[in-house]
This record gives sequence, C-alpha cells and structure tokens, in this order.
Amino acid sequence: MQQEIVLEVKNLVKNFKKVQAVKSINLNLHKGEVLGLLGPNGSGKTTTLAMLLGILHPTSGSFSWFNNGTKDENRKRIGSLLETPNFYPYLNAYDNLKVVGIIKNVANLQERIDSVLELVDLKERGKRPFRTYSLGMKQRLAVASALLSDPEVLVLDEPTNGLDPQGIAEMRQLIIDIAKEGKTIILASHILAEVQVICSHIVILREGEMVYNGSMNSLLNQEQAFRLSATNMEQLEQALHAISGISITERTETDLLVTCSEKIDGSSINKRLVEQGIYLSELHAYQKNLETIFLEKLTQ
Amino acid sequence: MRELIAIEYAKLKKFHALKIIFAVYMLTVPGWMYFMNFFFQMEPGMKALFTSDNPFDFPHIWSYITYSASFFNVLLAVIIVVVTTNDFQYKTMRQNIIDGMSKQKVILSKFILVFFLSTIATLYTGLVGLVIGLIESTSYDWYQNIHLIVLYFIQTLGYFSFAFLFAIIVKRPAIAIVSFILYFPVETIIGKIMNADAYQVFPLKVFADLTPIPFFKSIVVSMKDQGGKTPWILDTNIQIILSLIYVLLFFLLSYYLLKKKDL
Repeated sequence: MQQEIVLEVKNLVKNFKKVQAVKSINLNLHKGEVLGLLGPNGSGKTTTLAMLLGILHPTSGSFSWFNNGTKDENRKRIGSLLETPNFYPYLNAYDNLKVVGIIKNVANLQERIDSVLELVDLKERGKRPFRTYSLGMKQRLAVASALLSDPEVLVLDEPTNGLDPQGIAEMRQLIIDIAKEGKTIILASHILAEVQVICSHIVILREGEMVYNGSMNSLLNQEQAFRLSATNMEQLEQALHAISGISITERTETDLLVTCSEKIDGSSINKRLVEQGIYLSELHAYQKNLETIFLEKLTQ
Repeated sequence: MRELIAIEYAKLKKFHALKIIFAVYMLTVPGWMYFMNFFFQMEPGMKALFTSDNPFDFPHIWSYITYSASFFNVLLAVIIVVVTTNDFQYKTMRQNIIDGMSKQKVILSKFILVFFLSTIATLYTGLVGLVIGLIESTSYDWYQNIHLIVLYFIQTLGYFSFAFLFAIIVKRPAIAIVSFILYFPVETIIGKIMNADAYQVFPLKVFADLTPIPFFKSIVVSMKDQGGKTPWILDTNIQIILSLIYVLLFFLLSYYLLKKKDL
C-alpha cells in the first residue's frame, strides 16, 4: 500500500537574473521517508528548499504540502532549519523560541521550550542573549527551534554546520532517533556517511538539475563492483579489457577495482579469466559507498 | 490578532534601544514645552509675535502641545524603522515566514505596532498637555479644543506608517532612517517648486497641517487684512480623510512590495 503523500513537487524551476538556479525538479515524498538532498555548493539545494518553505517565488512549476497546496499554515506543520540560524540577537534562547512557538501555535509552549533546549544542551547557557553564542550553539538552537512544535515533517539544511566532532555525532544520533519515530525528513548535507546511514531516498542535484531521484538501495546497488588481484597485474588488466561489460574504475598497486554490468557476476569473471590462463589470487565483491557513487554522478 | 500582539510583544519587550528612544521622547515633549515657556518669559517680545494669549492657558495649550510634540514624532518613527529593518537585517522576518507566518500577518503585526505607538504618543502628549495646563493655566476649561488630540493621533499614524513604508523599501536601518528624515525637506522643496494647490495634498504636508503652527488661522486673517499673499490650508475634514487614505495606501503598498519580494 502506498503511504500518505507529504510533498509533491512538479517541474519546479527558479531563475535568478542570470542564473538558472533550479531546473525542473520533480519529486514525491511520502510519510515516514527520509530524503537526502545531495549536491555540491551552488547546485540549488537551498534554493529548492527556500521555494518549498515559502520565501522564494518559483519561476514556474508547482508544489503541494500535505495535499493542501502552498497555504501558509502548511508551514506550521514543518520544522525547518534553512541555511544560517536566524534569531533576535538581543533575546535569549527561551525568548527566541517563544516567538517561534506563538507563530506555530504550540500548545504547552513553556514545557516544550524547556524540553527542546534540554535536548540540545542549551538549558543553562540558553539564558544568555543569542548574540553571545558560538556557531555551534546557534546551530543547536536552530535545531531546537525546528523540533519545537514536534512537527510531522522536518526540513534540515546542513544541520551539522559549525558543530564540533562530538556535536556532529550527537546530531547524527538525534536525527536517527527522530527518523525512527517515523517522522518525514528532508536532509540536505555534505556529510555523505551520515546521509547513507539515515536516508531512505536520495535526490542528487547538479547545477540545478536532478541527476538522481530514487531509493538509497537502488542507488547503492545500481552497479556491481569487484576488487581483483593476480600475480601479474598487467596481464590481468589486458585480459579484463577483452571482456565486454567490465570496466576498470580504479587501480592500486595491489588490486583493480572493476565495475560490471548486471549480467556479469563474480563466478563468470573468474571463469573468463581462467579461460585466458589467469588465476586470481583475490576476488571480492565491493560495495561502493554513497560518497563514491555521488562523486561519479557529478562527473558523468 | 491576539497572536500577532503576543508575537510583537515577545520580540520587543527586551529590545533596549526602544526603551532608550522612548525615554528620550518622554523627556523631550514636556521639556520642550517648558523651554518655550521659559523662552517666552525671558523674551516677551518674541511671544507677542505669535499671540497675545498665554500659550499655556487652556485651551491654547492644546494647539501648542500638539504642534511642538509633532516634531518629536520623528523619534518614534525611528522606532518603527529600526524594528522593521531589524527584521530584515536579522533575517527574522524570513524565519517568521518559514515558521508559518503569512506575509499579510507580517504587515498586520506591524500595523498593530504603529497603532499602538500612535496611541501611546497621543495619550502621553495629551497627559503632558493636561498636566502643564493644570499647573500653568489660569482657566480650567481643559475640554475645550481637546479634539486637537484626535488630529494629533491621526498625524502620528500617518508619520509612522510612512516610516514603515520606507523601512520595507530600503531594508537597511541607517539608510532608511536617513532617507526618511531627508524626505521631509525634499517634499517641502518639491512642494515650493510646484504650485501651491498641488503641494497641499502631499503626504507629509497633509499630516503636518493636522497640527499647524498655533494661531495659524489668525495669522492668515491678519495677513489677509494686510492684503498680502495668504498661505492657505485644507479644510480639517479633508485633511483627516486624506491622511487616512495615505495610511491605507502606505500599508497596501508595503504589502504589495513584500508579497512580490524574494526574501
């Protein structure tokens, strides 16, 4: 059964004066999915999110949250962290969250504020004005603000920005915990190891164009790869060139990384090489990580 | 509505610059009146130029205080500019919208702030007039001419909503304050170049004429007697209507500009 749809995006385009920042984005997000939005700086991630969050006007195309169009009150059901944390510098964490809470009509506001500040470890230090915060504290307050209304959907744009290694680890765990609760999440991040752990779906943007949109599993298993080595590496390489459907993607002193089309598996590689008189000393299936695949997608 | 008041209150209750500007305003309004009083006592000749009446007597005090206090409205207009441009500078307006506020509500919440400041300014000016009057006046018919306070209220609404429009257009606090203040002489100069009839309906001219120089009308009469070129002023009812139209226009224009804007 298809899950309830949370977000539907159709042919979304944004042109700035000279730049086509976003070129036709299409995607559907269902309840409980965790979507990783990947792309280098300037690929249109934040522009896309800014359109979805009502602060940029799309040049063309449409989107709809909760099957309810682009209405302003939709955003009260979404917790967002977009780019830099934006707060009143002269107010402390409590007062800043109060403004957010009133806008979002949060019930039991004072209790919620206490609990989210506890979660991001700002309960004590949050009593000072926002302008005195370190980058990490600002970022954590922004995360607390996104979580304040216990929203159905979270939009997190680089949530680990400015955090120290311990903070990054904590933030990752926090997002994993939230994802486990069944919340729908859109996560834009450069830390791909993190995305690989958390996300069920992936959209990859390159210069405003969507180059991949699908599940994490099918992205990771699109191609099979093997690491091979033999006593005579040059001979091995020549022999591999003769086999169609195999390409060499990486050479090291001790082994070769090859990528195969779907029809070829480990035993057939082995068989073909034996036929040519080459006996492998090593053959193992290699799972490419998200980072490798991502970098390949960007250069393709 | 209550929600919007709560939001503005939460934003501003700890904004100390606002309290400082307010304190300065509260000192200047009565301070300036007493300075004038002192000045007129020292220089009876100067006073005689204006009027033979005692300006601190009821009901003359009302036209005096609304005229003199109107200059210091610029201070309160600066509050509107600072508060609005801050929302751009800190990107908090953008955040408010991301969090689910509509652009209509953003504008409406600032209109509430403008209305609130106008009310405070009017009540305070009225109170200062009353107290000074009760101390200095020889008569006690304080209710005569008290309608001038209502005109003063409309004037403050006009100035503050104009300041708000500047803030929405310019977005940067310093430039918005300077250009707002510079607009005053600019309008006067343009008005002097154009014909006098057209100048009467310029926004700041209309607002300023709600609380004209005290005894303006008697000056006009005396100049007529002397057969000179007489300055003229619109009928008060027309001034009120025009002012309210301007206020509405400034807020509609602000909304239109914000609606179009990518934040």
